[in-house]
Amino acid sequence: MKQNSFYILTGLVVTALVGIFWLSLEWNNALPIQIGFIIGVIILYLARSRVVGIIADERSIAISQKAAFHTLEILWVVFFTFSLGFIVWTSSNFFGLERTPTFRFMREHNPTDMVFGRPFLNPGFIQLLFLCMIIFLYVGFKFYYERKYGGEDTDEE
Amino acid sequence: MSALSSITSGSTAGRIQMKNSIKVFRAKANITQEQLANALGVYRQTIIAIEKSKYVPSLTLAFKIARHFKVNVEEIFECEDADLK
Repeated sequence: MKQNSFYILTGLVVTALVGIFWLSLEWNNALPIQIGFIIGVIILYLARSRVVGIIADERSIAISQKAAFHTLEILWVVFFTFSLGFIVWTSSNFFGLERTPTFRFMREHNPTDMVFGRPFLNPGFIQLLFLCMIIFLYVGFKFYYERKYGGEDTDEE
Repeated sequence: MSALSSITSGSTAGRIQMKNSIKVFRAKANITQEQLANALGVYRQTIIAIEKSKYVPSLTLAFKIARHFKVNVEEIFECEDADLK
């Protein structure tokens, strides 16, 4: 398989997944998008292993490793901070403390805030936000290390 | 791991400067960066980075480069004693 064919296949899989995601929302059933996403990832993984030509060399792999490592470091700190806050926010009752409002409290007193008004309070959205952050951080680090390790494509003398 | 360690040594490269004469050998052999990259199975950017001493290649790649030009590694790559301290 050529690289361009792989990119076209990736586009098709992503488009299909967007459609399945919408269907999942309509059917109010998480399984189609969850199963579809895993199948999509497997298809792309298998297709990638059949791409001919160079898809990674030692320098690009090393840059990816460095970018991934620093992304993980930052993500870990942010995610841990968020998780600590979330535990305090939602689990005070569990620890026998009733000082902070819990999700249950919010749901009972202002349910629209939970469902419609503030959808970003939904843990699913927050996790998606973190996943988007991973992509931005990773791409940012990749650009940084590409430049640092001489990736600029200069004309041959 | 070897690739990571080689780039790590490149990242501390304010101190370690692995000089090389790939450009000279390439000119003698009359081949382009692209041709050398294809022969070694790496991207052209990697050859550019090595030539500019911005990236220190792994031992495997260093030997591949040397064998491509039919010389010893030391004839292409040069590391001064002061850089190793």
